[in-house]
Amino acid sequence: MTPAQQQSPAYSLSALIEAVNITLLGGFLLFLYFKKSLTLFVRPDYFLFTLVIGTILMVIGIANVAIFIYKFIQQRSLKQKFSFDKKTFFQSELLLALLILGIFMPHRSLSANAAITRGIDQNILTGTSSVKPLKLPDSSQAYGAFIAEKSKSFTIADWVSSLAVNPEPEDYRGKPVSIDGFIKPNSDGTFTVARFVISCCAVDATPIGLPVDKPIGMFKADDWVHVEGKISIKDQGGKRNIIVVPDSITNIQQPQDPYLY
Amino acid sequence: MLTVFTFPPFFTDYFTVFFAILIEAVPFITLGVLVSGFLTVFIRDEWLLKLIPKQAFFAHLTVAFLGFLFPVCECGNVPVARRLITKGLPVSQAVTFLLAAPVINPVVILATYTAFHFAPEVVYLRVGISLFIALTTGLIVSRFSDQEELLTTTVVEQCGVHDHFPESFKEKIATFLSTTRQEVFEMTSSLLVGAAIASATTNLPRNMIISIAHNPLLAALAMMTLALVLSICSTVDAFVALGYVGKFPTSAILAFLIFGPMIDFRVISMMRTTFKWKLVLTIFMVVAEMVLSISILLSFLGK
Repeated sequence: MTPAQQQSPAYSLSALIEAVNITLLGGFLLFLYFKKSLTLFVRPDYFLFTLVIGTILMVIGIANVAIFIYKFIQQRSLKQKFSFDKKTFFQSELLLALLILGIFMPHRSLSANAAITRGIDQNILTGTSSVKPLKLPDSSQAYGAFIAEKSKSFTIADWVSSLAVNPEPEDYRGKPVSIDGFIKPNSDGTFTVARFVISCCAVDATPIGLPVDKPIGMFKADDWVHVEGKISIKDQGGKRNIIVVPDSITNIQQPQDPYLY
Repeated sequence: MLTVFTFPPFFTDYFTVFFAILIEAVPFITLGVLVSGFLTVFIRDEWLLKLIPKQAFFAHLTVAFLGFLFPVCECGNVPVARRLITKGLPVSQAVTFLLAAPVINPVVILATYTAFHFAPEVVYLRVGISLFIALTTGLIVSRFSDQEELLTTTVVEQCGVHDHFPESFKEKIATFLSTTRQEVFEMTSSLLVGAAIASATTNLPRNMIISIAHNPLLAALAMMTLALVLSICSTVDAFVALGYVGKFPTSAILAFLIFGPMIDFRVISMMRTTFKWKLVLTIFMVVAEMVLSISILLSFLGK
């Protein structure tokens, strides 16, 4: 027996298929990283991890391809047949199809449609969410001054966490609002300016938003807008809720990082 | 690019969630495979077996923590358990190892914490309850009189046959590269199917599942059935579970996170390569009953 035969009789073609798939899987992670598309799927904390693992996968994949070629050249003279396994073939077809789809499909953040099915949750802080609670003053007087001073810089997440601490709508009346978000149409013809909050990745995205007291008009679902206005109060089925009375609504580009954390 | 087509939103949302699971999961799968691949080529099984104490409870307890040396999920652990049995590990301890190792290992704990960093109690409860169930089930099996009878005949025949341990550095590198290749490929492929089903169910309208989710028994049963069907690796199931936070109570999410790594369709079919049906069904019943009771208990405690 030659040494090559002792080491690995009948080198399997599946090994090559697996190696190519792993190289491409690593390549896919690197592609998303360098295209800056990862923001649509996961929190920024994981970008570096994804980059490192993508590189390692490519190295392992390429090393395995190299080993296969090396063994192939060694065994060529032996006229050995390669064994081949159908299951590996179908698994790799599936993975490749998905990777191609993942590369060529336009990458989108979650849509207004997802916000509707998942339900806008104003009490996000009472659930298990990661929205950073605002550091709010204790006394109600200081609180009013704080809101008056800061509310213009509030993101939608800040508004929601402030409402979770102090749900009394009167305390917010007339306060200035300046927020970015996408349009989620409401059933009564008005709309909500919404964002998704994610704690880990798009899987756990929870929609939050502030309703706007204006017909949707020429805007469409998923348009990104900047809304300036003031808080007012609206009676909805005996419950008083805050609502934004807009001074101006302008179309904006979807931010590079569409989610809040 | 396919931007010339306008994809309907439910379609793009589906793929955003699907790829989010994939992108979040693949690095953790790889990390687990790398660590376990490294340890497999440097640690001999015989050394491990010497570490295990003689006294039954402490033996099971030690075995439950072997996952720290094999931080892969359930599918990677069955071959390890099988190898250890052929080298003399008692069947009941192999059961404890199989049930505990998929959760009680650094990669899974890190992944679970990554997903649930806003609710760390999920991590503690997952690890603690899994340990309890794995120990109890193993100790129950150790009371069976006919240990050898629980194994399939092929395993019994293999006892005493030693597989090849890579000696030279070159051999170690080659073994490391080929096992990591096989395992990453195998685990990623099986993740695809689970992630495809999971993305469909996490996008279900909330009000469709609310009546199930409000009953602690039905919620736990639903999440356990989901775990059984999805058959996702324990390294990544926490990311899938996130899709149900806020819809299902924490007690049901925990039932998913504890039951899934121990029992799912893929694990059952893999266990069958080593254990007879009698043992597989015993494990299934004991684990399912315990997970369900603990989940309901937790829901009464307000979780």
